[in-house]
Amino acid sequence: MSTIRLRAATDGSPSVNAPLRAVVDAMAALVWLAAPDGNAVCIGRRWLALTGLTAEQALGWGWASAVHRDDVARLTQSWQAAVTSGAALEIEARLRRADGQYRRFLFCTEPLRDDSGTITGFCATFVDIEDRKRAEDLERASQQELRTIVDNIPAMIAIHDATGATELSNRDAQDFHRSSLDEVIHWETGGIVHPEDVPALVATRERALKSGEMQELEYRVRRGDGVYRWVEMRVRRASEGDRWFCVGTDVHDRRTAEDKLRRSEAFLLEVQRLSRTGGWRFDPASGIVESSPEIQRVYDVQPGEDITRPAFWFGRIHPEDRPRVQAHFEQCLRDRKDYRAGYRIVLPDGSVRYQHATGHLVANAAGDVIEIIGAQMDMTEHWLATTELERASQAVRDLQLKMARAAQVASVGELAASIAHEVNQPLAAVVANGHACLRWLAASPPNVPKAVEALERLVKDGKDAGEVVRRVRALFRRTTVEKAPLDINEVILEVLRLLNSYPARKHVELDTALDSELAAVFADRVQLQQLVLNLVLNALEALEPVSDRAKKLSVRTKRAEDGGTSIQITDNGIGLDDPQAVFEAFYTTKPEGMGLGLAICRSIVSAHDGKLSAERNVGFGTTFTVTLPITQARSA
Amino acid sequence: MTTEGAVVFVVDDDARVRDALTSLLESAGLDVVAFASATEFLEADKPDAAACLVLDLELPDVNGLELQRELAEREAPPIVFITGHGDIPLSVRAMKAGAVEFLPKPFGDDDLLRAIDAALTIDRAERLKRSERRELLARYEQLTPRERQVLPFVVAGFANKQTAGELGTSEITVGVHRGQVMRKMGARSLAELVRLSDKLGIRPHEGG
Repeated sequence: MSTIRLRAATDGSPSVNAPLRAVVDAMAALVWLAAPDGNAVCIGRRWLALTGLTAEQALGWGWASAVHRDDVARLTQSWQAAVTSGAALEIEARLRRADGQYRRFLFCTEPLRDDSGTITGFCATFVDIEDRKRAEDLERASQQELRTIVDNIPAMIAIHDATGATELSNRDAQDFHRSSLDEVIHWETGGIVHPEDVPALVATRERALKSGEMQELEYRVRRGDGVYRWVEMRVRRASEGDRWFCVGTDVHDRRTAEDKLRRSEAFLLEVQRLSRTGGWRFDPASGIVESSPEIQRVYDVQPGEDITRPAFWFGRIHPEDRPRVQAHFEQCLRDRKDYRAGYRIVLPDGSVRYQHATGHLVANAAGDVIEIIGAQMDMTEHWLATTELERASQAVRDLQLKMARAAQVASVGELAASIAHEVNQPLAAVVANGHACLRWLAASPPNVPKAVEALERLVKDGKDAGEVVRRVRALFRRTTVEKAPLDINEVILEVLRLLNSYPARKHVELDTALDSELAAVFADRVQLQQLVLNLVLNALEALEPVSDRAKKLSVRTKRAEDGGTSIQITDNGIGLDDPQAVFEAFYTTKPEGMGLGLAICRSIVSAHDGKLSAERNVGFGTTFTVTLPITQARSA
Repeated sequence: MTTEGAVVFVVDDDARVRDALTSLLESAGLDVVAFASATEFLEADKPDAAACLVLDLELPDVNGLELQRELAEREAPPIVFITGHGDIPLSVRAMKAGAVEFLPKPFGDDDLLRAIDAALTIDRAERLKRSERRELLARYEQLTPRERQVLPFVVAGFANKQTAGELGTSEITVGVHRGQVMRKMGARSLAELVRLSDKLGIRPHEGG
């Protein structure tokens, strides 16, 4: 094999023989040959055509004039070094084309050696790499652009491989972790995920693995500063390459605010439940009602009921209260006044509860009512307690009056003191318990258990008092009647003496007209005294409120048409509505009234086979007439 | 009404009345101790505090008025009588014997509480007076026999010389006694010493 030996021509004649020159020129590549000292000795035709240099200009080191100014020093030094060392060289540099455009080339030189390994010259090729370079630049630029996009997406983005190692993470993710995401690989044990959330994350991973679909999870991740933050993560697993694409958002602040809101809502609900207060809101424009769970609980909302309509809420109101409440509500809307109402509601099970509602009208700038915000309080317990107390108090008052009367009646006999004591003891307890109950209820806060105790005692004591009344009445019935011939006028005068100046003090003009010709009646003196006293006291009481006329009371006796004796007691007092009812036990028309007295009167008269009647007078007041039969002369 | 540390004793043989009054008075913030009989009340340990006694007139063991008489002889709380009879003559007697109020049953809470308030006010004043007097007696007991002899002369306005003459001692000695008397009695002036002695019932020496 012949060896090509390249030598620089010292005389300017071609240093390369013609066949070699023809080969070099025929090559499609850009080629030149250099002597072992580095001087170019043969420049290919294509190279010269590209650069527009002549062979003379390019030979030796002249080719370097086509190299870009910025590259020439680097290139010639490298070339010089390669010549010296005999190593192969690959270096990029820009060459100026004939049209003045620079293009990038790869400059490769290989030493040529003879059999002994001695360098006999160099072969240099120039490969146009401009297009490839441009493509690379473009690729790099688009990579950079992608990176910029990924970094600027306002979320934490990371791509992990199957082991959990991070392949890619964006700026937000790195900022969050304050470092590389390397530790993410140990997420199950390393504490980067809040230990309480690890199971949920494992489950999410499994779901993502199975379904291949995007999964979401909110969990706590330890931030670079060591603080756990709530992060909402969406993850999808790509089966090709087994990679995990994760997008996370720091939702800690929102989540904390939500928790706070939830807690405050829970608190509000608890308060509503405790205070038995519900809230509602009505939008007049849409006619929609919103309501709180507590009011729904109190109203015992059933499945399927449309609680967004006022019709439901008004429908629960007791039929007797509904027209009033509905009219009032509409009136408030019209007048733009705040709403306030107390009423009963009837629940599906038929039970009745007492409600107190208030509503505040909210108007916009134009003065239109835009909503009504209301509160609803369940007053049932309170109402029941009050009613019970009211009833008990009323019973006490009634009893007291009846007792007073019973005592008054009894005072004619000799039972007064003991009956009074018997009655006053439980009454004192009733009244004291009543007051105690009121005070316990009025205390702040009300002491309901104490009030209830007092009320229970009160009821028991009230019953005791009632028992005394029953006994007193029984006592009257049992009283043995001792009848004897009596002068009725004398009995009346005794009673009037007993009353003494009482009528005068009450400004009552007392007129007596007693028939002195009357026959004796066969009767019990004490009972007749009780009878007359009662009727007179009764008349005096009927006169008590009179103020527009002179108060008059007359007592007269006369012979009755059937020959018996008649006693008439007439007043011009307030009169009776139902003269017959007055004789029923405990009937009373007067606030200070009796109730027991006339019933006793009637029983006394019956015991004497007589008649007792009451009639309204033509003008004012009432006339009571007692008629006793003709005396049958019985032996006393 | 200040009820701090005050206690109301209720004596009534009727349990219904006792329970009701206890609740009523407790609801008004009073401390209540109730007894079913006069004996129970007399035998009970009583706290050292302002007190009053709500006493039923009709008691099974000792009549209310008798109990009132008995209590009058010791340092006992003022009495508010309650009665189911409302007997006027009895009430007059009770009031004359120093009862604060006489309430016929049934009575309203206002009447009872007003009476109790008045009774407690009286008892507080009484207790204060008693404690002042005890204090004063304690001071008086610190005096030596000789100083006690000198005291009536001092409060009668005798000069030391006169007193010395009366007691047969020296003017200087009387001066020393006089100083001791003033100091031990806690009197800052002669006028105050006169007032304190008066409270103790020490009469100024007469004559001279």
